[in-house]
Amino acid sequence: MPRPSLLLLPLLLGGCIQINIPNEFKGELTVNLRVAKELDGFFGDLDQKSKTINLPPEAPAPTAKP
Amino acid sequence: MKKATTFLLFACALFTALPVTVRAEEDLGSIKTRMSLRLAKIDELKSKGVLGENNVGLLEVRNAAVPGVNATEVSAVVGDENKDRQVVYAALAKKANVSYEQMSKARAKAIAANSVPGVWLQKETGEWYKK
Repeated sequence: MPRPSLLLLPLLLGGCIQINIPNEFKGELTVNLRVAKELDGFFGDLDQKSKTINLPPEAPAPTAKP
Repeated sequence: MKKATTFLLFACALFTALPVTVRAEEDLGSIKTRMSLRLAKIDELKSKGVLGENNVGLLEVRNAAVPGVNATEVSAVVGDENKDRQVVYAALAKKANVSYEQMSKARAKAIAANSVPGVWLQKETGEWYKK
């Protein structure tokens, strides 16, 4: 039976881990997002109407909690 | 005096740039309407295997020798659609600050990913396949 403090160890060490994403990758990601946004903005409703293009279903909108 | 000149220059620049922006947006709007009106015909031709989507986001004739298909009409539809798509890609590329090629290839990838089975598509290598 592991001690509770040992179970917490990965959580504590997790805070020390730093992941560096190269700047060129960040830049490419931003560009791809910009391109996707522009394409979706123009072609989104045309693709919805098209019978030869099947858009992936959109994620359901979050429901408001009382 | 200097202030008045600066203001005048600013006003001139504003009134010169504004109509251009509005016109560009109107153009995209009318292109979208035209594309929307063409959509059913293109869908029909793509379903019949007459047209395919190439790897730069444009339509290409794959087989116009399908019974009941008018080759002249197909050629006109492809020409009109591709002309409109090229204008759209150029405008969107400018808006996103990327090259025309980046935009058109991204559109081709999106079309390929979301096309229904049976549609002709072109791989990045240039090879054609039916999804």
